Amino acid sequence: MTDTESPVHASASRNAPLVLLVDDDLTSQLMATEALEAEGFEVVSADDGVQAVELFQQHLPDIVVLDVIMPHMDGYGACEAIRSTPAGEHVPVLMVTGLNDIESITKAYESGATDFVTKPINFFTLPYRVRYMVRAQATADELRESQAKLDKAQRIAKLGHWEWQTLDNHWTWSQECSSLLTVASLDSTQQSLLHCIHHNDQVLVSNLLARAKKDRQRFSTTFRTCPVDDDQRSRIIQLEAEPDSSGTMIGTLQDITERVHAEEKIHNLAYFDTVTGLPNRANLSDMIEAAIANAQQSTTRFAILFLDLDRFKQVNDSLGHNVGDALLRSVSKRVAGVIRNADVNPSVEGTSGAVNLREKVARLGGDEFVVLLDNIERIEDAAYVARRICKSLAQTFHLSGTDVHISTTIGISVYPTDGSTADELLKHADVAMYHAKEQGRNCYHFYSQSIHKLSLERFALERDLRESLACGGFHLEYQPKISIRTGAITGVEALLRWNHPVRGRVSPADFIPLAEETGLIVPLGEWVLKTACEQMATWLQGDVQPFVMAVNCSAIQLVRTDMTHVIKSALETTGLDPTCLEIELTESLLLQNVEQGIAILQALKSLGLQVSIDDFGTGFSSLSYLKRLPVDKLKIDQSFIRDLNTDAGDAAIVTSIITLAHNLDLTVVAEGVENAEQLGFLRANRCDEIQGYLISRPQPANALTDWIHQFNSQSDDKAA
Amino acid sequence: MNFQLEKSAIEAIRSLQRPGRPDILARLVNIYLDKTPVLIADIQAGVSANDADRVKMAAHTLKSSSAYLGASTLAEQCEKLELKAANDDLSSATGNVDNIAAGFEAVSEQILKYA
Repeated sequence: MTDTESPVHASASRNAPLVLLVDDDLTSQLMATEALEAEGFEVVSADDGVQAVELFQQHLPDIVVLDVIMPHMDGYGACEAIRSTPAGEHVPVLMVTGLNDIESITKAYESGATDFVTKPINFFTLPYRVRYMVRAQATADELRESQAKLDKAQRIAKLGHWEWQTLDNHWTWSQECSSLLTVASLDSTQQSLLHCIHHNDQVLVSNLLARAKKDRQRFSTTFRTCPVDDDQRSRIIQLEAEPDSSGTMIGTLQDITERVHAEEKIHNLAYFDTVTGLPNRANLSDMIEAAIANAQQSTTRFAILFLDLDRFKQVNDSLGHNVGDALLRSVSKRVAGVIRNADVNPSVEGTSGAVNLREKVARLGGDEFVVLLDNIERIEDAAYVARRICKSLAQTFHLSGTDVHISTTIGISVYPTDGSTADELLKHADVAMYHAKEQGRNCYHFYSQSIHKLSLERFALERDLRESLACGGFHLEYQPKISIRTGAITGVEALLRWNHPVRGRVSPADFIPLAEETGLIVPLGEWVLKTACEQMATWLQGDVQPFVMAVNCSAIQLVRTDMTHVIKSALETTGLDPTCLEIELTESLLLQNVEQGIAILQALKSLGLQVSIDDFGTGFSSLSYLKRLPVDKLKIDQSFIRDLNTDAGDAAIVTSIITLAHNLDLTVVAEGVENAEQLGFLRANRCDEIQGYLISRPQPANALTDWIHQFNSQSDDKAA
Repeated sequence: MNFQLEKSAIEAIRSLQRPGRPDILARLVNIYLDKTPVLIADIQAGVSANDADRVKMAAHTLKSSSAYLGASTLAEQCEKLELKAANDDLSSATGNVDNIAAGFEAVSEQILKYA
């Protein structure tokens, strides 16, 4: 048996409880032994205090009966010595004192005695006294053990309990409380609790306790502890209590720091964007709803700025997501910075001092940000901030060694004029942003009913476009071109036509831009190419003279898709000779990136087909690179042809283009030729080919087949 | 001085007797007869040497055992001496010592028959 084991365990391994009997009077010792043994105790006897301590450690008795006055070491000394041993802390000690000797009774308790009995000992009642004390001790041991288990459980749960006698304001604490509150100890005062509480939370808890004392109601709150020196983070403690029938508050303390942090983390994930740390869409909706409630109450207004970064996708695609993410972070910092520093509004007359803006910035995802400008006084405040944001974001971003240039387009909606719900305000700001994009980027635009109407129309048109594309609602018409010199048909231009069941005939000028914006131009363009090639193959199988099929191709198509692959497969499917195909492009392809445009043109040329530049003269083509372009033809835009005979300027332009083209060895085609005078001018100025109503309107394939036969036979007649 | 034993004390001791165990009264009397001369010698030596602690301890022990045997007059004499010793005043202790010695002789005669 080791001395660390408790006396409870010692007695458990014994049949009878063991008494250590200490008395120098052997007659007394003998009688007590007889009496105790008669009642089922085992007895070990010692004659003096020194021997008593030795025997105690040797036998670990369940109880010690200790005479006070003994040689060598008296009962007090022996009791203290036993108490100081590990097993002796809780063992019951019955001290034998002189009758009515109050002084020695007091001394007995001071030295750690559990109880006392006076001399002469009544040996008949002694065993009952001893048995009672052993039983009481067993109960106390169980209680202590259960208390230890409870303490351990509470330590694991980071839970402490306390009692508060509200009448005399006396507090008692379980052991765990002080460590939960990160203090060495707590005393019986309320102040000792308040001392542990973060100063910002002290008043809250103090008021709550005052109310609880008055009302005797259960309560619950959380507070932060004072930060400890080297660990600057406060613990978060939950304090809960309810009154018992006597008015004592029984309560708990629990450390919920980890739970709160986990909840915060979950909340952050749900309500904040992980890239920029800004509030996300869900959070923004709440923010706007709150702003609406606030604005309703104070009859103020606020603005929603919907930002879309221009060219962000290109940055992300070409420089990678890391740079893209870094850009988003820099953008969010700049936007927040702009709003925070939006102090003086110089654009508003008579304004001095600060513009009172409370800002909130959120990221909706992708390259979309939203700024909530709370409590604006004037609409101009929103415009001012939008201008500042555009200006700030147009400055170069230096991101890990790369200089990045972007700009932003902003749509603005204002509560309450532009919407009464968060959804509406956001949607309308988005619509305004879209409108601003159409106006050219790097600018802002306010929402208005008219642009909303436009956006609704655009949406309906897009829907109809998709529908018609899916169910074959498009067809092609063909307009012939003839050689001025020979009068023979040189080719036809395939023109896309849309006959909508409800809209009727929709002009390509109205739907092609939308198809380009939405990307629908890609499948639409492929359909045009395939259909035109099939038709050309059909004509060639008939008995018509070979000519060239010209198909228009959008810059979007060329940049976004591998057009050479699409053309190749159309040629293979239809078996059409590439020399019978011509691709018409507009100058816009060359606007953004000349080198890329030239590369695309070269790729097309390598297929063996012809390439022409459509609407020549209306774009921004620089004559300096015109000579580098691998093209075969220029088509003079019909706007120059229309007033050819009355407008000297147009006539000069047309003449110049023809001369220029011929100097570069290019064929020139005049579009929109409607009368003989125009033809006369063009013939005189050696234009190569013409296209227009003078020859033929665009016609469906069947009609044009007839027309070709007729035209050829007339030509033959003339020739004949 | 009357050193007559109280019969009830003897009866009380006898009532602690358990069946099949050695005679408790005889064992007690033998211990008393053995130890008491040693204690009285201690008392006499203590008084001669003016060693109050030694006197107090011996008088206390003899008081206790005498009382248990029903020798209450002897126990009273022991207590008186014990008190004097506790007050560290042995100047008038000789009379008590003599009484105690006489008392033990009288008690011995009465308990010898139980031994």
